Amino acid sequence: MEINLLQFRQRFIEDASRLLDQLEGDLIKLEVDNENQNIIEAVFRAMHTLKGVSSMYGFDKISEITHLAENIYDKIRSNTLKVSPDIIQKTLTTADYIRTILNETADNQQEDKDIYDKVISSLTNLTETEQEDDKNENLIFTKSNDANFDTWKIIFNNNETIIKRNINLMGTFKELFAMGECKITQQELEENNTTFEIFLHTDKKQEDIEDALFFIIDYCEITKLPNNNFFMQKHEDKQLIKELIPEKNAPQENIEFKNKEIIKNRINVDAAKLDELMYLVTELITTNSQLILASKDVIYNPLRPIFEKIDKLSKQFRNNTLSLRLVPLNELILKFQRLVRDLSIKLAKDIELVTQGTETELDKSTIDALADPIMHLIRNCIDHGIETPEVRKQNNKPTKGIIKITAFHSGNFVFIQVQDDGKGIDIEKVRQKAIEKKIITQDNNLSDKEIYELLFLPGFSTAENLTQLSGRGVGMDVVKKKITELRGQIEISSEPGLGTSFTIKIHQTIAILDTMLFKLEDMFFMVPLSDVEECRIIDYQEIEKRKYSKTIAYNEQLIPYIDLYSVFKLNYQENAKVKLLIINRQENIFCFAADTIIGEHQAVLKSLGQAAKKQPYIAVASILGDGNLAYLLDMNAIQNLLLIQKKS
Amino acid sequence: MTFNSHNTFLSFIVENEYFAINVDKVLEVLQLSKITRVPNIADEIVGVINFRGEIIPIYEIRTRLGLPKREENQRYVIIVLEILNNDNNFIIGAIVDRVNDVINITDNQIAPIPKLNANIKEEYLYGIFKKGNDFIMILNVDKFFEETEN
Repeated sequence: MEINLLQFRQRFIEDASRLLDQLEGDLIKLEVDNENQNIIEAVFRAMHTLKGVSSMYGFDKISEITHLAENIYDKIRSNTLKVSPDIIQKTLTTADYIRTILNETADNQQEDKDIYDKVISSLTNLTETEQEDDKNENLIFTKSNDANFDTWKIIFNNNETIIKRNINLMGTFKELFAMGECKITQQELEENNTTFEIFLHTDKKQEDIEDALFFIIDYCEITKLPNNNFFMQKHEDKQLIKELIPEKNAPQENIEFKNKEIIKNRINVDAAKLDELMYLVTELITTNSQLILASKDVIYNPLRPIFEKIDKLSKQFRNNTLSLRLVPLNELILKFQRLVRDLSIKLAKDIELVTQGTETELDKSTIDALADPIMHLIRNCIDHGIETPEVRKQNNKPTKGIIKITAFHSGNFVFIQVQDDGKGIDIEKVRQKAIEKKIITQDNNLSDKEIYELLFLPGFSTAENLTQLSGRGVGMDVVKKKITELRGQIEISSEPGLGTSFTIKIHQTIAILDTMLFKLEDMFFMVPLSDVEECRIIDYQEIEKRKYSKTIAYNEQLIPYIDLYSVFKLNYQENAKVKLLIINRQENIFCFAADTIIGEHQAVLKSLGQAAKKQPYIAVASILGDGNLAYLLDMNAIQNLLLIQKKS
Repeated sequence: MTFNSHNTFLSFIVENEYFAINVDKVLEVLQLSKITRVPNIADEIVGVINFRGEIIPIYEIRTRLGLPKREENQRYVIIVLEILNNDNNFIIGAIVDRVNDVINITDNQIAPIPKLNANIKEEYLYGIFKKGNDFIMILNVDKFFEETEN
């Protein structure tokens, strides 16, 4: 049983975390638009759901806290309490605390107790400031004795079958809780079963309850209690009586609630299952290309139309599967809203985070990996970019600074831009710093772009007043590293006085890549197609002529030539004509030669794992249609060869 | 006496010597598999193959045992093994000359390891099993491939 409950708990923690993200976003909106009834409802419901479900999983603290918070928002929505910055702040603290409990381990329990008490008392204070409200209580309470309201007892027997069937309990109970007030107790009967006793006070009919419990109805026993006042009789305590206050606009709310569910008709799937599906699809694609290749040998093949159809279908299948892993950037943005709010308060700056195109989708793993770098960029904008309100006023700028996150698609790429309207980057200052740090010399003539690049070097920071904010955690070099690991690129542009903009360019999915396929000796290699500027054939003498400077003449200029043969310890077959691949990576142009340039190849990438451990230039490979393997060159490592060449 | 997979072994031959591996460790025996070489890597890894959609490294057992190199056209088979190393499972392939048969060995039939020639480290072996006139060396594959993983 222990394990089963743990599985459920894990699921609950995931769901609850998502709910908290949403909650934080709503709270921040509410802070600005503090009469928005929809948002108040949303906050209330989030607390309500958390309360109910957390008690099921033994998170008693969460259920108590959310219960208090729920009361506050109940009052707000019934207009007996007004939204104040204090309430918002305290709710946010509550959300933080709930998060802490979710991640709690046994050893921080004591310290935790203090915070818990603090949160409880701060919330209780809020409710008690409205004393006169209590007077209404009995009055309202009698209303709930209305004939329409009944108390139902639902005994839910939670057993292994439910786990096996992968039923989303959170979703099921959310619907149930939306019907009215619930009280849940958990009883462990036998080794393998946990039983929940749920008391529901609602004006809904038995059919409705059964509908809500549709998926688990076989494990439930629903009885109507004769005593209408179950809640009142059993629990004298004031809070619980409050729970019985009927929702004034209950019916209307429920309709809205259901609509929302339809829009978000989503299924939570175990990420491992998706990975499995991805694996199967990539296998299918590979097998499919083998099939196509094999069918080409026969001049007349009646099966060919069928093969071609399979080919088409499997490509669609692949695209579809890839899209399953895509999630909108929105999920990430909610977290940033909170960051911007907290930091700007801390630094006494007035900053708003605006977003555009955040419905743009990216692979889930990419989104997760992007969270930290983007977080750091935003921090940078708040800390170094945007000026204090006073300074902004002096410079005739609106006192409110703006950080804008824009996302959009272009080809196989997704662009994410983080912009601020702050003071911009002082190029001269960066230059001086670089000279000071002996990275460049006085007479190095660097373009603005190259100077911005310096900011990404490890240990490079122009901020003399390294604040606690951007001093901690990752630096710009780590931002760059993380994005490079995702095979993405980052660029800075800046206008003095107008602001700075960071642009991240990243692949939508990282499992499949368009590449250029070529051969060295009997081995196949690939480079990302996006890095290839041009393929051309030159005379061997061209290479021979400049063999000491390792350069090639290309479009009226000399570009570096990288000898892949020596990198991979291969033999170059001397030939009068040399096939050359010209690579262009962020304006870094270089080239290398190949025995044969085969053409474009859509690569399903697989890790080489152990096999490439001692090989810094390749880490992933793709299986070609004929079963051969092709290695993807790590272009960053290859490009770094140029730095080494320069030094030596 | 009952047999289960714990005392069932796959025996194979490398350079006329008999070896055995517990079948628990063996995922598949591949013949005529094309090995793709990886440029510029450790000598022991001959290359990689595509095994059930995963790319796995292929090790030359001969190198590890200090035996002479395989001749160009000499036949070989690949035994695909799942080995445990630092609590992680890895799938690798090992090149042998040919597989012989599957044999059952009980614990009391395994003789202790005699003093060996320096090429085969003692820790690579579980013990020796005498089968007719042949001596079969039972390999501890987890140990045998351990260093190569570092």
